[in-house]
Amino acid sequence: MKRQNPIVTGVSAFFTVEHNTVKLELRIMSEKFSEILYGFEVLPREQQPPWDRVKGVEAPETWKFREVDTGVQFFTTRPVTRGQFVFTLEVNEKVSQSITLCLINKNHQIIGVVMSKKKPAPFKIDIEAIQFNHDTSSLRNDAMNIRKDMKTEVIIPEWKKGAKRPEDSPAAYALEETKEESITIKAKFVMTPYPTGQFFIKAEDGGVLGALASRVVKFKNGISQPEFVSFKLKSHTIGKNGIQREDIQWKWKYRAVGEKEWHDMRTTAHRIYIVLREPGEPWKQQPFPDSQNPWTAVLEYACTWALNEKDADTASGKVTAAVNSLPGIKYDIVRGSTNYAFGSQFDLSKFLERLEGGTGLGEKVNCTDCAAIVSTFSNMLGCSLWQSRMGHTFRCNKVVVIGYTNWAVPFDWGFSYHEVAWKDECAENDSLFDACLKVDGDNDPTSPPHVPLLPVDIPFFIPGSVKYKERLVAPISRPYCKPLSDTRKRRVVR
Amino acid sequence: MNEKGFRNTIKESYGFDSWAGSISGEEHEFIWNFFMNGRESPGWNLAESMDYGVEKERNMTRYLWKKEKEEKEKEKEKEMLILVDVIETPSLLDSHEAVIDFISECQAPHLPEGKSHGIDVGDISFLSHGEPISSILFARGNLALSVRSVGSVDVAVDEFAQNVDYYLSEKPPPSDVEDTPGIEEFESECSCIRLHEKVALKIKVSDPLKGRLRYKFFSTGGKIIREKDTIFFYPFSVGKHEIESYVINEEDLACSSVTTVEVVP
Repeated sequence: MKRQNPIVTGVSAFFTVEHNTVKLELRIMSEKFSEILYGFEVLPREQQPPWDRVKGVEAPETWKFREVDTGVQFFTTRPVTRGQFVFTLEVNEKVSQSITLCLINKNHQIIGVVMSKKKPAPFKIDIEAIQFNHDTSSLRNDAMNIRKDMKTEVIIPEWKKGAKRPEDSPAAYALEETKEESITIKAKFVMTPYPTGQFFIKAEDGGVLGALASRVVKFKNGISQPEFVSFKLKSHTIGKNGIQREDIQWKWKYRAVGEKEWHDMRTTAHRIYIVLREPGEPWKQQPFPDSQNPWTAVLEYACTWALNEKDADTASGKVTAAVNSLPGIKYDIVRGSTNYAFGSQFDLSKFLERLEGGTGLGEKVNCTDCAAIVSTFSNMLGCSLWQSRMGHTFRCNKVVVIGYTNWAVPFDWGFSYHEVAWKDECAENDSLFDACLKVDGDNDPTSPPHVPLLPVDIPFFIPGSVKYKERLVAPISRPYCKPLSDTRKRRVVR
Repeated sequence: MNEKGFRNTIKESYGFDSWAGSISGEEHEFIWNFFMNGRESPGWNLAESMDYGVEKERNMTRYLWKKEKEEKEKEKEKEMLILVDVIETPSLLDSHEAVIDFISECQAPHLPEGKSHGIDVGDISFLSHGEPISSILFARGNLALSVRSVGSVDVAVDEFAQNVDYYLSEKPPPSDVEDTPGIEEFESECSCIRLHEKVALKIKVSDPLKGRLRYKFFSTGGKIIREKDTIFFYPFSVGKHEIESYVINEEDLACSSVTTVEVVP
């Protein structure tokens, strides 16, 4: 017949189970055991229903454990005083809602039992995914349609659990189109181990996108309802500092409704680009996905070159200056041949490879390449430049071509044509940007001294003043050098 | 002025009408499905082929060549690169138009003609300014090519261009090894045609390697053109004209065949 042991008061115990591991917490709350309690046993036969076997795994400092019968005995050599002790056991079978502990005295005789109660598992909420571009038909209330490069798309949701680097979660916003609009992101959450409930969720920090104010999120079947929950970017600073490229992070937190304490969920990292307005051609928002959607590989350079600029012309000027001073590219002084651009295409992928220090298509460029580079990178920022020619066949003043430092007349004579990044109609009084060469910027561009001037936002020709044409074209050829506006184009990127 | 107007002025200044449609030798050549396989110029490695697709019946491919590693090391990591642009066109005249397109993309005001500098490459060629000759544009049959040094070290490209041109114009000796492609059928759609008519050439080949094949056609009696995917012979004179065909695989294994077309008044 089974022996009945007395239930002991003043001692309590709780446990949690994860797989086969039981974490047992013993709390001695009364001094009355100070001289008599030396440990406890967990015996399979005392459990409901009985177990086959239990093993000790770990005991607190000053405690030991040993096998007894098919169970385990945890004991000390001194009597146990008030305190809280945690033990680890291994049980290879289903554990019910309670575990019976048999308390023992100095002689390891059972002096009573304590029923250890199972602790409820703590709930946990985690973020699964974030959508910045949740409406691919518009860029007014969310991020715009982008891709990484010619071959690689940016998959929506842009952030998924597991992504660590900010560049793995890119998003781009158009300053003009989002101005005075309500911008939102959407996020998906999961909850374990309970299927339903509601919690407040918020995110701190967020850089240019700002912190996300807390909102209630409901859960059903362990997933947020709706699956992707909207958060308004109420404290964003898009527009404050113009063009941006910023790595941000959100520290996500949650708390149960009715509780005060916020719990850390996870920190997510993102790379955010801010451009002035929807990128101009060749970049397109529709269709999506498409090879002509803005590339983050280009945003990376364009936003860095024109960081903090708030005006399209100034931004184009910064791009022009950056291109003109790029290492690794040089004017083709033997033929002046187009290299990265060809016909209606611009091999942007190869140019980016060159920018990254690779071979690309080599170092040689000409004016057409420079015009394609400046307009393609500027238009990414929301500018509206064309690639257009002037000409044809004209003598030049001395200039400094890209990649060189000396003043010289190109090909000892001049150009058969010249191409630049040009605004509006690419006509005489329209301004242009030329990264291919520096002209003489003083009052007499035909003779020394030569003052280098990078042509940035300068009209081609204004009667009675010294503009681009007078600086580039030798006096004898000026009547023959005119804008060839019909040649204006924006080459598709590949 | 639009681009067409600009091209016309380029044509005029380069005397296009005086050389357009002319060939350097006696025999007309037509190359179909051209590709470089890396064997064209010893001492150089074909690093990359880039297909730029078909525009106006022209297929453009770029080939980036790097100096072989040993040589590169001697140059202390300096880049020695040659970029070869090849435009495959449907006809001899169209390849000369493509040469004009190449010239239209050059800012240098007047490129010297190859022959005037003793450079005999292609049916027509134009060189870069100065020494070394680091750029050559030329046409061979229906192909227009641009060969230029694009690395940080300017290299002379005349020898490279001559090697490529030889590769284009040579009649490869037939191979008798197992993997050689075979011509199962090569004949004209009609064995007898009238002068100024064109006749389709039918060619059926077998390829044990099932890889890419390029074709060469030679004729002294007329020109060969492509319309969509059909090759035509266009005779210049009355009489019996032989047309030679060569089929070459990626391993440079070749076979050949001859067909005859009788042209009557």
